[in-house]
Amino acid sequence: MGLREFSFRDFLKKNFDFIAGILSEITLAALIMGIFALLIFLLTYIGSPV
Amino acid sequence: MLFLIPPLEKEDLKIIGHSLSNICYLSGALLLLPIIVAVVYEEFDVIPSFLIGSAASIFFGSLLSFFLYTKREMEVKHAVVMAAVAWLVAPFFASVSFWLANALSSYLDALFESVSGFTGTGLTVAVNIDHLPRSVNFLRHFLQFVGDGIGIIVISLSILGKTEISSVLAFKGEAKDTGIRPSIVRTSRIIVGIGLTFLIIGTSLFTIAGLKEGLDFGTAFFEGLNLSMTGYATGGFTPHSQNLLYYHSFWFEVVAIILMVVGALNFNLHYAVLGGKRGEILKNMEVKILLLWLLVVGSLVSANLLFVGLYPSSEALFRKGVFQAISAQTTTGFQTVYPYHLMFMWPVLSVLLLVAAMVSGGCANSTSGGIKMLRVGMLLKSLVREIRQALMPKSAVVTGSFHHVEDTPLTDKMVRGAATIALSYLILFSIGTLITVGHGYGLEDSMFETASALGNVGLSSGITSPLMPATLKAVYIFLMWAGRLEIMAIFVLAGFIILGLRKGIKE
Amino acid sequence: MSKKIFSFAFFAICILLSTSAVGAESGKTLVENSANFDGKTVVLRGEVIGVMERGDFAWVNVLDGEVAIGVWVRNEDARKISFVGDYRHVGDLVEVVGTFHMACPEHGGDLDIHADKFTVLTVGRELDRPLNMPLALLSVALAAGAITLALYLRHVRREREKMVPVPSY
Repeated sequence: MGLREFSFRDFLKKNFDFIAGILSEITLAALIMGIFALLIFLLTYIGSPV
Repeated sequence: MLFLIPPLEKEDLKIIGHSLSNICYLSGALLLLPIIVAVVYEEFDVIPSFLIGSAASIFFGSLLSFFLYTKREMEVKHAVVMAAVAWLVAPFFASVSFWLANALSSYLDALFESVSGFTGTGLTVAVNIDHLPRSVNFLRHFLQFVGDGIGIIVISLSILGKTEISSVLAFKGEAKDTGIRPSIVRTSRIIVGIGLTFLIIGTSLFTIAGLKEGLDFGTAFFEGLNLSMTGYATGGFTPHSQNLLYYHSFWFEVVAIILMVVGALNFNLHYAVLGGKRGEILKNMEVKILLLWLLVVGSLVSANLLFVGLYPSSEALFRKGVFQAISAQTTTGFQTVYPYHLMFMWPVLSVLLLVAAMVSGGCANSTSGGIKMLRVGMLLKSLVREIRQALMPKSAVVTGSFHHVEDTPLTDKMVRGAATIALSYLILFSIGTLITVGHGYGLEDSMFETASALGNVGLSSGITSPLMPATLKAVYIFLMWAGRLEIMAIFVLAGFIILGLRKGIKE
Repeated sequence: MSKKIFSFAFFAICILLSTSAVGAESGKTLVENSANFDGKTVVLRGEVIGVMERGDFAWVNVLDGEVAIGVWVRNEDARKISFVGDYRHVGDLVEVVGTFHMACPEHGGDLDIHADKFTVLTVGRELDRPLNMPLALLSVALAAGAITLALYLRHVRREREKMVPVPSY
């Protein structure tokens, strides 16, 4: 079990998983923003007649 | 009680000192990097500052290495103490560079800025940030990336391998443990790799946003590189005095949020997700608790701001309310509201909610600070378990578990550990608040700034400034340092020193 | 005689008005009293530290003392700026007269000023930051010296080890 060099170029070319993982993490952030956007629209909608 | 603990030996000091020398060498090498930036922007007059800071670091390292030489293996206690000391020593040399470059009003300020950089806090006492040499400004951001984004001990391990710091436990000293991978060197390299990946992604996104928002390529790239370093490191330094407000840009804030959220995630989670286990993102206990906290704090802050009528539109509520909530929870510290406004115009409820977010913090083993979601989650689950136990018949046994990459039973030992750290944290928080109040500041401000320093956040209500009393600066340096080391390491170091003083050092 | 006094007074008033010595607010005052100034016309003087063109308008960040405020100006006005302040430059000293917003609805709640009048009072300049040669040479010597010492001590340590092995526990 030797020590493999972490080569960024290799990962990018060979590992679909890596890229998909990055995208899913970014999606998580986008999801958080989306939920908040929805929440705020809801709040302002409720808030307006008050 | 003290007599049961074996006395300190000279070897103990040698082990710590020797591994510390590697940190000094590394810090010396890193301090040379801004010279490249200085050359690019023709800031030749600042180059001597970096050379001297680097020289001092390397010189000190060689002294340590020569006089405190040993081949004995490191144990937990050494690693923990070494980490605690490293987090003071490395900023010390960076502060020499800052001070020589005239970037700060006094040496204490330079030390404050370095510690704030290294610990990934982001509270700044720099004067005239907008007129700082680009290389010096780069160093501020670079410190956050190296100290908090990746971790200087991690870098040391990944470069130097198993040579001198030969224990898994050195890693633990930095409050980031291996979790999955058995090889500590391999894990270090993976952490470096993840950091560099997001650095590249972040810089690209910011550069594109910058071009779109009216900056030329060179400026967009420079700003983007810096913001990316501090965004991922959940640090909070920015190249300008207005913090993120400088850009007046929704897109900059969006990219910032992406980096903040990513930076707040557990390295073990990154490893699992990037290795193919993408479902882990939503199954993970910490992510669930983080989302919950974020939603609660974010929505309450937004509702509060809406009710008070401070911000006129939904866009404003998002870019001010939600943004600050995310910045606080991930312990980043990017700010889109003037500090004065946070303190005097924001309703107290929102300020206190931000304090709660800052104190609870991000995920464990991430670039975030605070008590950490893992502990908060454990404590909450433990509470639920206690309640269930109370309601069950006497003979029933209630067990609990949680999902963190894999399903793990929640043991009493874990709960105890979590509770101890949480309690220590809250004690320091209270003391810090009291000391700040003692200097004449209001209660909410004091709580806010203390939480910001202790949680390595960086949001400021205005207390942190070059004009801050020197004693308070010193206290905050201590809090930033303690927070970064999750407090236990500080106690172990204190114990070490007391042991050495009381019992002397055995040959 | 009275005609002279009158023309003098008229002349004086013209000068006063044209130099706009109509008390400029400091950035700090504006931020700390945002509610009072909200929606009102203000005068801000400061150094340009950032320019970003966005369509027909541009953001100009104006630094007054410790506080910088974003000013929304027309492109033609922004293009009057010659220097943006940084380490090597003093930015143009500008004067802005415009409407102050504590939380601008048009700009996502940002605190800003929508400029009606934008004037460059003093053009900025490049700053000379001369290299301190003695210090530079000293610093290079120190750095080289430290690295050499580190390598030398490492060499000495290795030599010593070959002679007397350090006991491993």
